[in-house]
Amino acid sequence: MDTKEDIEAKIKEAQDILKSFELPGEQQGKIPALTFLALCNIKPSDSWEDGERKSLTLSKDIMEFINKNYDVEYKPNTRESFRKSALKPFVTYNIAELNPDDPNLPTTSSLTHYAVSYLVLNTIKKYNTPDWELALENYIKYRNQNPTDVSPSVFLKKISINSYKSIVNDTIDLGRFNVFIGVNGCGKTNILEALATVGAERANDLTFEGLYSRGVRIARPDLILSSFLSDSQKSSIDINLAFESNNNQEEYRCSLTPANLNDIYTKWINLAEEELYPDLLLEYFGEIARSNPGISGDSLLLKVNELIATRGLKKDRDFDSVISDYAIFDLNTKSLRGITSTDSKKTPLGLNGEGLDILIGSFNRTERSHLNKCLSFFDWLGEIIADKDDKLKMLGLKPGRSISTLYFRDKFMQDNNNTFSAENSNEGVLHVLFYLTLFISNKTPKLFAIDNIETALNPRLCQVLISELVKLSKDMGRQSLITTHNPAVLDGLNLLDDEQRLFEVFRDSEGKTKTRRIKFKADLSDKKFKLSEMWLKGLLGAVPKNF
Amino acid sequence: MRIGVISEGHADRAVISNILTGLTGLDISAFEALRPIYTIDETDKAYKSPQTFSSWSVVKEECENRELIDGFLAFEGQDFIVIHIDSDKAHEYGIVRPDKKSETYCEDLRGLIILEINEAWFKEDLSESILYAIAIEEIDAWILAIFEDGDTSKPYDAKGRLVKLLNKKGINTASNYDNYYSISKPLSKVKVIERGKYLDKNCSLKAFYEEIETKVLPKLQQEIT
Repeated sequence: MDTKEDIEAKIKEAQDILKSFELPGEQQGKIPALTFLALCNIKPSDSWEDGERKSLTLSKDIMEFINKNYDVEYKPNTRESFRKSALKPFVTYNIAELNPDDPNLPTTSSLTHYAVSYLVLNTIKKYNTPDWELALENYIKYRNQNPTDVSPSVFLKKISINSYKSIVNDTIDLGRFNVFIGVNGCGKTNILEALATVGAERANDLTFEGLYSRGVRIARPDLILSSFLSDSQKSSIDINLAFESNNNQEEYRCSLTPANLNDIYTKWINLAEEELYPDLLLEYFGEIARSNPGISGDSLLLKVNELIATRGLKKDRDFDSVISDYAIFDLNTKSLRGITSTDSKKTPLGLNGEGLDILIGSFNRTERSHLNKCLSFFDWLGEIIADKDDKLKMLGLKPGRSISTLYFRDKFMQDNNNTFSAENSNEGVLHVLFYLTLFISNKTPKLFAIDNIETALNPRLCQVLISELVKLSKDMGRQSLITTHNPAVLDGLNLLDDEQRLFEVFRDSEGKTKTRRIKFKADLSDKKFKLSEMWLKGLLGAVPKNF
Repeated sequence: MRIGVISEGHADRAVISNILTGLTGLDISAFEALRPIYTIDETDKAYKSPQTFSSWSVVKEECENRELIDGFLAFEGQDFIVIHIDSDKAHEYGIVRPDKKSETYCEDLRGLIILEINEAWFKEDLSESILYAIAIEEIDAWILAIFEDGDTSKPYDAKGRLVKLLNKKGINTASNYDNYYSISKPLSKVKVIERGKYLDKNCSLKAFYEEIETKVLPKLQQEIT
């Protein structure tokens, strides 16, 4: 028989673990702690290393386990408290998986079940052991790589850009799903590129290749630094970012100057980090000396140089992985069809559409069920086939030029003649599949940009696609910056939702790029038209004025 | 802040933009051209008569159906729309001219046109959001104030007089946005307007100026504070 002390001690330990996992205060209360103990199958007298993963329903399994073992009596009508304060957040924070045995269960199913994640299980087994600190460190490091991770841990709130191409001074407050419109040449893509430049800098990859691989159009530094008739040219690009990470705000200042103004291949240096160099060098020296006791002076210098070459001379930040992985996707139908040599090396999806077939081929059932939304967008589309072994090629369904293993079944055609390779398929379906995949897969960037999302898409399709991508971006924890010239894209946005934002990008009377958010007033009774029509009527700006 | 402009033509918008810039300090990009553009396609152009695209009828049509006005005012930061119309064709849109010899002819005619817009076209009072740019008799008379002494609202055919005068000075007379923007540039400088006493030369120009001062400037001040 477990004593009251045993019970209280175990609940406290569970709360301590949840706190160590950096869950919000609400998820460190008694109900979350008891739910966590049930998910790990830990009774009051058990050791944490006895933890087990089991698939448990809420009423039958979790609540019964708690009532039986922890001297409490939660009634069935308290189920909602368990869902709200424990299970839902646990799923969001990847503590638990929802319906691992049947991902396609409807949300209201009585068979809805939960299981503690393997990463969490392996971590808690080390609790109260000398390895706990290390296990916790690993947990923090790897939790965001968990394939079921859908919570955005880092969110870009604001970007201020100074002296980057046509942008002399501009600040944008971002939402989750951001759409930019403006006349040709107003500077939309420059905004996307400024962000990619910071990504390259944080990845210690601020080189010709590092910028190109993120989708930046390369130019000589003296053409990248703003050069206007009214101002003298500055010597640095200044970009400030404000991130929100686990309810913490973090600001980052970046001041990039080229080593050689006239050399397109030059290295760029971040002047804003210079003041940190002495401390960082000391940190590197200390780190090497600790792991190499008695190391000679020469070897120490050598190792420090190696460290600088790989990591750069910069302080690690929470947002590094998100911003480093950021890229600008700009699709090319031939790349989607797999008939051009792979231009973008970015994985798993290339900037022009490369790698789509392979990523879809690796999708699990949940991802696949999301992807099948595509079937409703095309009335002729019966099935999307990812032919991993390329067996259909042997049946003569692919002429041979394409390396893509994607096929589509047309439901109106006869069974023996209804399967088309990516090379022969309609191009719109490839574009739509790419965007869905980009938002669905957990292997793609958390923060990214799409230039000209409307390419190859019917206007009505644009509307439903955008609406679906907005939903996915929330469900899958994605943040995106999207440019478009197609008014129908705007009809997929709900501007009353603060997470969905529309911006006009324009050049002022001096030609400098500026951005403004387009927002409705509270009273919408005078809104007679769809946003697409309002754009075409000139009510949003973002159209040429003189013809 | 962004201000919408419904004008008879593009050149008219250029003059209005200069005046707005001078008084409000807003950049030219803050003025959104709502009419006469965007409303027709090439098929319409081939089918309809050319007069329907750029004249008082364009302004009247928009005031009556209010699609652009209501749509524009539905957005945050968009609280004012300039309605420009020349009085030279006022008889065509139902205005009975006051006595031309009257000292208050300009004010009276302007008042009658605004009444017509509010009561017959809008059918309700939108004056809080509307900046009335009623040019007596043409917007060219506002530009004439830069070059001529005397009351420029009196003479008819302000356009003809302006062309003659510009020709004499060797200045381009083309009636398009860029050229009218350039020749009306002095209207974008408050000090130049005061020094040249331009407002005293045309009561309708002065009235438009006062519209901006009393409606837009307080709102701008509010936004700053």
